[in-house]
Amino acid sequence: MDKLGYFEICGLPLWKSAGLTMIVLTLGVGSYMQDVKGLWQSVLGELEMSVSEAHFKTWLKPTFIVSSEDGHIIVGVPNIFNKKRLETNYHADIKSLLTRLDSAIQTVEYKIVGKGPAGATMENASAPLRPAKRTEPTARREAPPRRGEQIAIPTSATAPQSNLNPRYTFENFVVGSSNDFAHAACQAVAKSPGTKYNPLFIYGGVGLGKTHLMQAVGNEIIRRDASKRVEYVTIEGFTNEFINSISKKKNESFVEKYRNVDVLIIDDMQFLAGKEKTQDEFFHTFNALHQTNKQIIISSDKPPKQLVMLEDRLISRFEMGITVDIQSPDLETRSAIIQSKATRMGIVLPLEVVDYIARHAQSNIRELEGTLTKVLADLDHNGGEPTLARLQHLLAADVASRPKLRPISPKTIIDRVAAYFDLAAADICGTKRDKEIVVPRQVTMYLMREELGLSFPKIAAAVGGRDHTTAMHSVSKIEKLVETDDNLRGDIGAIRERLNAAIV
Amino acid sequence: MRLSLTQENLSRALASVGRVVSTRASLPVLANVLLATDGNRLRLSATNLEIGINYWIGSKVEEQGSLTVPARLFAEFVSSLPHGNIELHGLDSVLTVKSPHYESKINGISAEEFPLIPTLTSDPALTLDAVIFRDALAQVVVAASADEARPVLAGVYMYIEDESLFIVATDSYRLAEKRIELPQGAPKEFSVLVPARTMQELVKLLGDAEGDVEVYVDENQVMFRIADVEVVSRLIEGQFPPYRRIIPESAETSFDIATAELARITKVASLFARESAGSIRLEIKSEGEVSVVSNDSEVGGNKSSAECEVNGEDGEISLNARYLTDALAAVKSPMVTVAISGKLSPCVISPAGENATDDYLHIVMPLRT
Repeated sequence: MDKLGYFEICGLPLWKSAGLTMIVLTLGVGSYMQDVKGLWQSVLGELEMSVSEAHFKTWLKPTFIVSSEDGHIIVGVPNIFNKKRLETNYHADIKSLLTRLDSAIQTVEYKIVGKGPAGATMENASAPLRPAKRTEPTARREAPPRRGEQIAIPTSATAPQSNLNPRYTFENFVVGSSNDFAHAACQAVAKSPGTKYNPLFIYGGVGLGKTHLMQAVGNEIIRRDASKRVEYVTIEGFTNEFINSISKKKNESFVEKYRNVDVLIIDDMQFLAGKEKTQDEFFHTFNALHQTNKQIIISSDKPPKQLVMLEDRLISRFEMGITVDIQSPDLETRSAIIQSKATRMGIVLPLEVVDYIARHAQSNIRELEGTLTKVLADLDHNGGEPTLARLQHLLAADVASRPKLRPISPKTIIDRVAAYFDLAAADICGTKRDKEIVVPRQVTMYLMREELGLSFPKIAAAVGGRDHTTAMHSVSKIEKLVETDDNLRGDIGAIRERLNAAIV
Repeated sequence: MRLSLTQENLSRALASVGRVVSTRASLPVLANVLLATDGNRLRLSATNLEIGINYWIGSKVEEQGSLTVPARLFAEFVSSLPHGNIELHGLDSVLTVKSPHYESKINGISAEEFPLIPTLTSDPALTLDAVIFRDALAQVVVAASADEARPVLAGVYMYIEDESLFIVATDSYRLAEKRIELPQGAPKEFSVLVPARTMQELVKLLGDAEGDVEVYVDENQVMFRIADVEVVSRLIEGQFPPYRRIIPESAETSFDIATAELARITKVASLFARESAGSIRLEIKSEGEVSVVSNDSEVGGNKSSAECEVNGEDGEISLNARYLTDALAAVKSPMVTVAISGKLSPCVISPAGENATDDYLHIVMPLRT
């Protein structure tokens, strides 16, 4: 018998064998999982004294306790041979030893488990001391490509990590007239990155799906070729990393990271405004990638020309590829989005309900999702059927709560609309009947109704003391137009954003 | 234990089970083969605790019993005996082997010490034709990794999809996939990752076997039963990489050529590629010629060409000669199609010609140039 072996297994300093009794006693008093390991070590220790070393090493040493509950112990074994051996040759001894050490134990079961917990066996315990195995991803990054180097199949273990959200795919992007061009351009880029449209510049208001589309491109490129390195970053993240790299004097790793990607996706480009050093760095990154035909995808809330705070050399580069916009979705698209989302959540909504939500949430998809989630949460919580009446009730509370959250005055609306259309507030409230003024005036009244819930006489009074029927007519006209006219809907969306921004 | 059997049967059985005997086990009995009577048959068993084999042979049993003897000595001894009947007599742990003019005693170890090689008793998860299965495994197992550092790549992945059994292996530099169409009524769901070493043994064991192979799966174990042989192995835990997406759907350049011809010029070129770790370059001319080029500063260089049928534009790619040779041997078709798309995309080798099937493909990743 190998005494030292026993003490190693117990993980204890060199004791005399009387020490075993002491451990046993403590174990008897102490209770479970904490002591389970010690318990098993005691069992193994005793068994080692009665079986040959070779047998012990082969059959007993690579075992450990998986669980111990209600007097039922599960012993993990490495393979079927050990399992059979323990069951047929050692079970009686193991059982009686366990019962002696802890009278609560009644049954013992053996289960094949791939790997024991760290430290369960001596082999495992010493494992961390071995030199770490070379892992593929780091090797890929550290070693520059050599001539004659064997290219590996990108398996999940070796594939470069991307920070894309896998939920964003083309399959679950609802295409409508407001975004079909952007969608087509993105698909073309996904099919042949770096060649067709480079850079791809997507702009549009908040919550219209820019991020979804861009990430869908990235996910699709990886799906087609898992070895492609796709990096998604918001310009804010890019800026922070850049600043960190400078302060930590690790600029090389920053440069290395962004200039060795196959596809670079930059979100919210408008926030680069006014950051000169970062603009400079981004300019060089852009050039390095563009010259080697690496795809660049950029999103912003405005087209390149309107990013006035950016350097001209950047803006001109953004316009080298293709610029596409995403508009607010029209009614059909919104309905389709609601349908698609509800279906994915496994809920069938009546058409009228879909229609109502689509009409209720106009400005962006995030709002649409929010409304839908609210409806679904209510269904989930209170049960029953999704009916229109119930929905109206639910959303009425929502509308009523808005004015409190958004203390916008009629005056603010007039100012914002006027500013948006490059008019004076006096024009809105004036009497001129030019088309350029009439529509903004009607939009103003529409927004007063929608955003503030004002009565028609109040609206009429606020916009230069008109008749309340004029207000009614204006509001209903815009209500209709908004469903069909993409441009107008875009305008209204933009004004709404500014209104909300005004509060903050 | 007392029985008699033919030298031929015993020798063949020992050669088969002997392959899994542990050579350096800490437990001496694992270097032994178990002989145990089982009704009118003799069962031979061996295991290295990763794979276990039970092998039954017909014999005339006079007295039941069992014991173990050193596998290597016993196998070598039996194979040197003349054809004809052999008598085995086991008493305590000593085996007496008698045949005309020969008699020897071999000291063994009690059968008690030998691990039980379990027979999985569930219903078979899958039944396959032995010849088809053997050929399919042989075509795939070559691509598995010999390195255990990444266990899933040291395995052969088998799964059922669309009424076909797919058998796949990859060491991340090449990949082989074979599809076997299953008869109606075959199971719809099945997926196991079997150690490549088990599959290599299985290919040899299936040798000239006929009939069916039954596959049993239970508790991290897989068992293959072929007539009188059972192979039990652990399964590999883990997820096989989602390999499908690396299979190119189209190619810029492809050519059809006699497999032997391409293998020959590859062999010639590889003689000059030893210094560059087997790096050879395929140059395809759209007029209908493929050249295998190797440059070796020390010994010189070589360019061997062959006529072939080319589809698409000119193309070239650098490959490891050994991987290409392996692929050409594994494709098991007189003609092959080699398809590439540029220097850095996977090279696909698949059967070609009139009777070619589309159930096999072998991918070799290029060398960077």
